[in-house]
Amino acid sequence: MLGCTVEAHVLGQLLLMQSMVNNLPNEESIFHFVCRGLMDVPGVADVRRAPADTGDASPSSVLLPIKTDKAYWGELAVTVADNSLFAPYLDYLHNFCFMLAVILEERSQRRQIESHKARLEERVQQRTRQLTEQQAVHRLTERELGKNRMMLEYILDAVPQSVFWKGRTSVYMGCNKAFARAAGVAHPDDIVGKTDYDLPWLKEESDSYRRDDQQVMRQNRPKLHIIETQMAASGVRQWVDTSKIPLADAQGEVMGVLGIYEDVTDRKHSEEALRESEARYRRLHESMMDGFARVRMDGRIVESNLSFQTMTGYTAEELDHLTYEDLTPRKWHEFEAGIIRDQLMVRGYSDVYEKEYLHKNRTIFPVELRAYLIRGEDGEPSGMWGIVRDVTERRRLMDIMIQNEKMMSVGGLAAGMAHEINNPLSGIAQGAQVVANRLNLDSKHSSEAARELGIDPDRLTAFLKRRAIPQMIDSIRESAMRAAHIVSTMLEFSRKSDTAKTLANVNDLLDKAVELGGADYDLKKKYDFRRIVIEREYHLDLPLIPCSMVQIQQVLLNLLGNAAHAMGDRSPGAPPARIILRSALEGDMVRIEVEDNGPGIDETTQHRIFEPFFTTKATGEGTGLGLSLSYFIIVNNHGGTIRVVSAPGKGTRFIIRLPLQADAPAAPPD
Amino acid sequence: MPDSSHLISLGFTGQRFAPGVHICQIFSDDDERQAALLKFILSGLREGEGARCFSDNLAEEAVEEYLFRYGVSYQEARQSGALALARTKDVYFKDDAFDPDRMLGLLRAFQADTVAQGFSAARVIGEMTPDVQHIPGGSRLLEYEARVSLLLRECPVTAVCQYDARRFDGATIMDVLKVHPLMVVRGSVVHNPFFVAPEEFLQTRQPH
Repeated sequence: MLGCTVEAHVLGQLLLMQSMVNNLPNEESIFHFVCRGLMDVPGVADVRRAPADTGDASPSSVLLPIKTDKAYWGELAVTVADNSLFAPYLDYLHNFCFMLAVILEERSQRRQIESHKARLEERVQQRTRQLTEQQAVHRLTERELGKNRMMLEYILDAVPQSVFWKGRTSVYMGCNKAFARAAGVAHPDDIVGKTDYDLPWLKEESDSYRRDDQQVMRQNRPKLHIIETQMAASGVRQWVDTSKIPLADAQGEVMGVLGIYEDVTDRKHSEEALRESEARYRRLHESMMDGFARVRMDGRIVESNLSFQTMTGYTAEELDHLTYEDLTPRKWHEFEAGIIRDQLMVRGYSDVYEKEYLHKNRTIFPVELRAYLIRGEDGEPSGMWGIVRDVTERRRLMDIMIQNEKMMSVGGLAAGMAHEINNPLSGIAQGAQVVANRLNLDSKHSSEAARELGIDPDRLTAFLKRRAIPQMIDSIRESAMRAAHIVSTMLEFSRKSDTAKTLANVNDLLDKAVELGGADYDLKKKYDFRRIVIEREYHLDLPLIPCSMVQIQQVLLNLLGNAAHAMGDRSPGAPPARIILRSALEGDMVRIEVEDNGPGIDETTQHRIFEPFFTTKATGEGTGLGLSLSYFIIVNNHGGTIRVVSAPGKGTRFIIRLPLQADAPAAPPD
Repeated sequence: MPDSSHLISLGFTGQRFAPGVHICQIFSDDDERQAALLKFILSGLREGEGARCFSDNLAEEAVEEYLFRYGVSYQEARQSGALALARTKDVYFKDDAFDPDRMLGLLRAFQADTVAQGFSAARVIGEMTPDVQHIPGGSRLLEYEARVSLLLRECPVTAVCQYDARRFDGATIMDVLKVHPLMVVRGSVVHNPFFVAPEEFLQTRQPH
């Protein structure tokens, strides 16, 4: 009904509803609240929230839009039961719905703001948490860095080496205490900003340091173990072993150089001492008369000295590829393995033992050696070394001494025997001569004695002839004479030269011997000297030597005869027989050689060749006394030496050495 | 009958009211609710009244601390019977049911006992929870509130009913408002324009 008044409490209710909706949590709750509240408006039968723009309101419904110019919240469909009661409130309700829309929009905006604010708050909190965490990490990192820095400084100062680092232009940026001491600065910090030229080093040292700095930075490559000098602040110039490495920034750009060095003065001196010691050792090693060789356990030679190389004929490089067994004739292998097994491996060294080596030229020579075991750091055998001595000469000298002893002994014996034999031999010879004389019936006394006994001298003579008695007696006499000659020769052994020595030229003696040999009837009838080539290799300025020319000629003639005899039966196609005569000056001795190209002499024969009665000639061709007599003439009567060098198929060479001084002591065996 | 000459403070507003007012507080903020509750108790104690508080969301320590801050001993108040705290469900939903008659009896007895003990008046503040909508008797909530208004005319207990707008539907909130003559709006107590006199309200709910 038009003209009805508006009740104040309804308007108040509308106002209060506007206040209350803000307490409600959501849109749905608000609309329920509002719809329920608007039911109290006079004339209203029902209030519902209508979906937006449905336009399906019933004729009795009033649609109240809830919207602003920016937002739209749908409509309230108010079912009016009594329009006359309702109509006065319509404008208020429109206002209410507009205010409700404003409130909803504000709520929405507030929610958005709150949402944004919440998100922002959350982000702020999240960021704050991150920052807090980062700050905590930063603080932790700072603490760790601080600790690390302290630890680094501690380490840098604790290490005995000097440590420094420089910038791109070799200006010092830091160092440790050891370096500061060497540089003469009170504190490592004081080094900052200095260059090498500000420090005690010598100028040439600083120049060198900076060159190395620049090289390391330019090549971006470490330079290690630079052995150099440094004039320290103490005034002592020390040797240092320096290593430098480039310093790079985070981008990998070289920004400086880090150096570390240590004082190696003592080591340097030790090395020098060691080097000197090694040099001395090397000189000693090389100058050793004895050979030295070091081998691995497999026998490979890894080190040798010059004597060893000379002894074996191999160079050091060649020896590197050989084992000691390669140098040892096979017959010694087992023996030497036993030495190693039973002596070296048991007590670390061997007794001195003898064996033979095989020279590079395939000749075999005797050696004497002692071997030692080398153990590695683990105590296990790692090799052997040995001192080797070539005993060829000693053997030869020993052989000569033995020969001398033997010759002296045999010579004495022979002379003694000769002396004892000489008397009965004279009896035999004289007896034979007497028998021959008495059987000669031409003599007065023998024919008278036969007749007195009734024996016809002619018939007796015939009997003796028939029985060849006179020949037998002649044979006895000749044998006795021959024996007497031998005895006479044997007596020469023990007779020191009682012949006066005169000064003679050896070359002349050699020529005379050749001449005598060619003229000697006995020689001529056995050998044709014209078919033997005689070569002379004389030293033309030989001094004269004191000697018994007859005896020396006898010796030389004997040697020529032996040579000619040895070359007598030459096979067809063989090279012509040849004798080489040599003379030479050897210190205070004159050396004479008589060499032939005959069949040579084996070793056994060489050992016995000077023995009396030893001969290789057929029975009756020689007495076996020629070389014995020669030996005694040279050694006993002249204080010289005589020896033979020969090998089967390689000819024979007799070497005589005679002293230049007559009263010189006996010559050492050559 | 309430002595209209003696006005009391509710604590959360500067206005003063005669004892026996029935006030509804619709809140959507827990701090707002607790602040009103504590202030209501404190002012009651200061007025020499007996006070009761029913809430599932109130720590005894918070009350003690708050009162201590204003020079009031919680322990003394409790021991003297001036103050008692209880949980909503223990008071309103005893035996898992909501019985308006029992609750009204409790209110009546509380008022009588309080006065008998020498307190100047009785006040109660309680938070109703949505559980009431799901238990037997829960549908009689509005009836109960309307009858409280009637009871308070004879037994002047100053009563504040707290409802969480976030946990009750908007329509229910509107219905609750209609049965409370006073309501707290933005910290002020106002006469409720929605209020429907209890007799009228109860009559409309009478089965026809």
